[in-house]
Amino acid sequence: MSDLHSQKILILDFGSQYTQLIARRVREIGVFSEIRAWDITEEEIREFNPKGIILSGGPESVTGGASAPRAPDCVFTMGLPVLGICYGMQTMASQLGGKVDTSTVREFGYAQVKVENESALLQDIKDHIGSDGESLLDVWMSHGDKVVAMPEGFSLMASTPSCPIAGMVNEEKKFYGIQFHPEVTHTLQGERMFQHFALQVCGCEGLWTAAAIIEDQIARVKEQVG
Amino acid sequence: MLLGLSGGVDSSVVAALLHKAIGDQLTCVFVDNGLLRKNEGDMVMEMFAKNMGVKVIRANAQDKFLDGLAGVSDPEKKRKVIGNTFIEIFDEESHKIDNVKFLAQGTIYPDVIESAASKTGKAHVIKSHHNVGGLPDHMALKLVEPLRELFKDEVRKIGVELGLPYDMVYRHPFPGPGLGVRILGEVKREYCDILREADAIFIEELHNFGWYQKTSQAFAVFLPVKSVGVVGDARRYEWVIALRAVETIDFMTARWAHLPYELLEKVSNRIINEISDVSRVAYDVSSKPPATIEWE
Repeated sequence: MSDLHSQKILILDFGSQYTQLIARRVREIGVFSEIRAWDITEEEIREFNPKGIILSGGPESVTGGASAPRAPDCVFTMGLPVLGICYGMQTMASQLGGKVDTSTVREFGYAQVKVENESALLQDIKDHIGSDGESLLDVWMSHGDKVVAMPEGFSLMASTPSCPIAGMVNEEKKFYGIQFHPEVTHTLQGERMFQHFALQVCGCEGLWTAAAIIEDQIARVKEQVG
Repeated sequence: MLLGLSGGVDSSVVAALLHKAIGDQLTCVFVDNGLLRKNEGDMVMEMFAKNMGVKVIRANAQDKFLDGLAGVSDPEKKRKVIGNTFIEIFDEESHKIDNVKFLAQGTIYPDVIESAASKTGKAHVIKSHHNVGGLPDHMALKLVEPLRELFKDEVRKIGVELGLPYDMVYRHPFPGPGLGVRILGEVKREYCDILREADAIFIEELHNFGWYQKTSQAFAVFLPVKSVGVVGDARRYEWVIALRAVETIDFMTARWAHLPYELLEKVSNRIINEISDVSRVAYDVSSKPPATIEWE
């Protein structure tokens, strides 16, 4: 029996209403994922032993000082790929030396982002071609704060007129931050972004299928019951 | 191993999975509380006992539930009576089985996340989930929860993969207290029988018109008020049935389904013609929020 749980993605929950959707999207592409609270300890992360980490969105503001939730520091030092979504991107930026501002303009709903640098995450993903030949993506935005300065080592991945840093990437470290929500179906090709992250970037194989889950559970029940 | 089978998706999938894993070591107890949908009890027995060969004990406890509900009209009290009676019956039945060491439950991942989140103080109190809350503690059974890692859509996928019929796996959700909360006020056997028929007609026509899968939840509600009608030359003074159908992604918010008039007309005609105790049918056009999906 191949170990279904050997390759998994850890999702740190910062309180977004969409966190469960992230886990579902990752599972839909065949990779086991679990949701844990953002204040998980380093030891617990090591014990969980993920192939990659996703930081969810959340209602707080990283500009809120000491009370603002942050990812454990080890998230950025374990050598694992990290995908930060919305608040997850903001805390990634803030914890690595970038800058986040509270914007007076809040943005909810559809947006079209311009792909500035495909990177592994957005590779070959385009919804439309703009008048300058640029790739455009239809995405779902829901935020007030935004990253205004990227940390060192990052480059611009995507932008919109109202959110000039809508995506940032450090390819060497495999850190990706996106301000929009790929887990929401309104983001047309969100599923492919998760595929790129979990399969290509993190190197998971897609073992999590209905047939494999049944086989795994049957084996576990037999073991438990004896 | 013991499993309480409700006819719902989660416990059905657990039954199919455990049957495959441990065969005869699994015994299911199906409590027929008299508050089920039309033919539901028989369907559960046909599916599991006859088709799949699962050991199922059917406890026909309609009288106990209805006796307990007599004179109770407060929705919360009704839920309590139904919940407590269930535990009593389940406990009673499980004592008839020798050598039970494990209790299987259909806990799914969102329940697990919810209870974990409440630990960090970020989320609200854990709902007492119908298949988690209050089962016999004193039996000192070890818990087996084979779905605790899975989301609902994954439960459905493995359900069909295990050979359960699509109709059963993709059926609309049904509340634990069943028709008990779809009869407003006091629950009586007569009301249950009327509601069961009306609900069956509604669901049948939704299927006929191709609307069942387009709605997330649809059902009939029994209103204990009488309204005047005229049938032939006679005046009829009978009960009112309300129809409810909603579309939702996550059940947190829901929009009333814009069912075609032809469908509503057909359902209304059939209900009033085929059930002589009903003189009027109404359609619920409230969305959630502010209205909840269920009426009680």
